[in-house]
Amino acid sequence: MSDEESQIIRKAQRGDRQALAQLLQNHYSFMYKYLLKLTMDPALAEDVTQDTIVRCMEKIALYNGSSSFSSWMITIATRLYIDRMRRRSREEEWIRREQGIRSIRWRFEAQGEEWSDVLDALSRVPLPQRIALLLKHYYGYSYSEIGRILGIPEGTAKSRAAYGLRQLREELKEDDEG
Amino acid sequence: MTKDNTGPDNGNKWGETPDEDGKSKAAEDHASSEFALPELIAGLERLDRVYANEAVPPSLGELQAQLIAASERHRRRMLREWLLFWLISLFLLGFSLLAITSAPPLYWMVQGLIPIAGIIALVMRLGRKGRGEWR
Amino acid sequence: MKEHSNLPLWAWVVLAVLLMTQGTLLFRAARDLGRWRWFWGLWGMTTFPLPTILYLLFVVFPEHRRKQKDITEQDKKIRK
Repeated sequence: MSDEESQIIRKAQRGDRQALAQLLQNHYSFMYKYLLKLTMDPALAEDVTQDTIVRCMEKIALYNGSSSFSSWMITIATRLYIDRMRRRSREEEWIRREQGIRSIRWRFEAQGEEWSDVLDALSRVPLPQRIALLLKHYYGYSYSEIGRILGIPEGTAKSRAAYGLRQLREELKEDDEG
Repeated sequence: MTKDNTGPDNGNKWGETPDEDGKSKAAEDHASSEFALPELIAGLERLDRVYANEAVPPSLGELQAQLIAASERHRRRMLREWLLFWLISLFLLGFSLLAITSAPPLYWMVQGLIPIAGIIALVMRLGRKGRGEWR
Repeated sequence: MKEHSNLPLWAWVVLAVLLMTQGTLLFRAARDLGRWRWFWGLWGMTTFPLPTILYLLFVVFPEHRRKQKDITEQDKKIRK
């Protein structure tokens, strides 16, 4: 963490709202992009981003520097998202996921970007495995860090990431065949 | 290394090569470690590109206004919670002082049960967390 | 247990104040750590000093140890 950032964090922790706004602005883009990949639903990603900002404000005093600020934010965002999903039924989750992926697909077409089946496949990987998969293989966190983010043992994080990757491959193979 | 592949539902779903072990598994792992991951990363980067506009952070002023509104809500919620806590506390305090004088056995029994109940709740919670369930 | 009712009034007042202080402090401390504030706070209103002792034992002490561990871990990372 840079000196400048830790200075902003300290200011924000002392209640300097401008410093906090600056800090959140610096990390906004990273967080939105993370949530978009996690949720595969642009509207939901937006909502959870807002929730995360509010929660970060409430909890900023509890941030103790034992992890980087961005992974602290990822922890908060992930838990808020999991909480939301917990409140939903499976059917609701399925419908929302289809809607989300459809709107992303539509956006790809509108911008003339080539669609990638891997995104379809990713959205079908169950949530716990998907989170671990993303954190490990896209963001490059270690298993112990993932464990800390999700509040699970290191071994569980490892098996979830492995299982998630395996499932992603299965989904891709099915896409190829079907 | 083989432990890497013991996912929770292992064996049921992954029926393709069930009795493979050791070497062949590692070989498969190695060969397929190239499969899907580069596509995944490329796909996600494309996703970032397509949604670049949404990822632009709001202005500092907007963020600050949002923080002010949120902190006001937070303050009110804390105040309500605090009042509720005091209200319940007054009743509890009254009851326990009354219980010490008039029914000590009952009082000490309840006092013994509380930590036991707490420990049971804690163990249940840890158990749920350890299995990594959230449904 | 009969002697309780023979306590002078000032002792009762001291006891009540003690319990209120304990409950309030526990509620605030547990809230700031995000750990079961209602449990600690309300229990702290009913008896003394068991809640404080158990709070120190089950919350403060593990938290302290966790922090120490984090610090040594970071130390290792830096030295690498």
